[in-house]
Amino acid sequence: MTLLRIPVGEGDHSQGPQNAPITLVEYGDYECPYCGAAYPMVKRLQETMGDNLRFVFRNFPITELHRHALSAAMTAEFGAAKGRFWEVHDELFENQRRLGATLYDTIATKFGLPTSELHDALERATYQERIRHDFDGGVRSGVNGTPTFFINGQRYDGRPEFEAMSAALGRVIESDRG
Amino acid sequence: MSFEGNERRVRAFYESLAPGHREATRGLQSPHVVYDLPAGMPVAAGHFEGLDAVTEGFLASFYGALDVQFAVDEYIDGGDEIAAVGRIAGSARVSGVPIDVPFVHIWSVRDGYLQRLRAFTDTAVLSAALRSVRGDDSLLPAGATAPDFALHSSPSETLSLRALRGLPVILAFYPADWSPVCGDQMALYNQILPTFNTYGAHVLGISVDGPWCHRAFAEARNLRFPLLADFEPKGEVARRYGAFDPVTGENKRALFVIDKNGVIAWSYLSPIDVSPGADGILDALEQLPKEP
Repeated sequence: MTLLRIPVGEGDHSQGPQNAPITLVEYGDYECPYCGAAYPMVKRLQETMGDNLRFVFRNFPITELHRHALSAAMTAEFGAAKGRFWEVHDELFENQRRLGATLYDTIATKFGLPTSELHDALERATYQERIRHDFDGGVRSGVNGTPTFFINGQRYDGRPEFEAMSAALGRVIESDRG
Repeated sequence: MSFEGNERRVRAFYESLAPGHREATRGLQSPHVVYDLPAGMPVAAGHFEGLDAVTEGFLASFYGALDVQFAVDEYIDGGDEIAAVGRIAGSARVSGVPIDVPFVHIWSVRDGYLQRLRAFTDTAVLSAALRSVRGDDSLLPAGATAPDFALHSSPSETLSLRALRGLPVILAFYPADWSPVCGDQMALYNQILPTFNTYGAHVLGISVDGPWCHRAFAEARNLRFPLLADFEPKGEVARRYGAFDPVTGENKRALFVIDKNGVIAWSYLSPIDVSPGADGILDALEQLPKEP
């Protein structure tokens, strides 16, 4: 059994109640098409599970394969620094095929974030260390590709599809009650 | 009588086959000697022309895989054609499985030299002996010496495990190139190379895909570590590590961390459909004795 070694904490980007019975952690890459496919699936899980689910997203950019993965992650982290992580996160996945400077500017403008500061952060790679920290923690936890999900700290090796995942989440809730 | 001379030449050939005397067999055979071996012959099969092709293409791999002797029970003198009938006895080097199969060799002798061999034997039994791995199919465990190998790392280059002695080696057996996920096992290891490098460790991927397939895959995924082709004989190295799946004909997903002395420090078998990630590898590398 492969376990999440970096516990979910203050520094994480998280949606849903902290005391939700289920915490779902995704290690993802904004350019990875499988993460793109998983994005609406996670939204649907959040809708159906409601307050039973806390969702955490951590960066795992496969930069060797995806040339925009790091810049996209840095843009999301810039959004986080301005308190708009999830808005930027969603826009990046919803426009996955257009990742790049133009899209980042559009997103920043949409949420009233100063593009000059964004450019500066991208140029100086201000958030690279944080992204690296996510990545390294993922590697040590057995992240084996993107997306990799952990359900209450245990790696989910099933298919990243709604039926399979909601069944897995349902089983965890059942066993907690039992 | 020339007939008797022919038989004597053939007898001399088998007497020279004893280990250490094989060089002498060269002088008995024509430099243009032809070997025709059964198509089902493991290791090397088919038609070989010329002493060098026979020696390098057939004998080297045959004796590399099999520790056997040819014991002739009977010679049948047919004039220019001499038949040697006997048994091949010994064992398969890797599996240690004993071998004792009959053989018939028909030699054509002209001008005092062996010109052509037509060989017949029980190829199925030989193949089975080569396929068995230590009587079970479990991975080689920690503490075992990592079997050496030399495999193609590109269409023109080979890489041996021995050549990496002195540094830790990560051996990743995987089923096939082109698995349909972008963050797949090999791409992940590629991404983690800088971390592996902090331990001085080399990563080697091994599948039964050929070197040209590996090249295309590596280029497509921008891989910067060698993919080795365990292609011919198929899965031979994986078998030695207990990492071959005879049902699918592909490698299992098996990881080995080998220390700088060539001893297995850690091995792990992952379910075939689950990429094992790198956490176990890094834990194992961390636990290797530190350099003084």
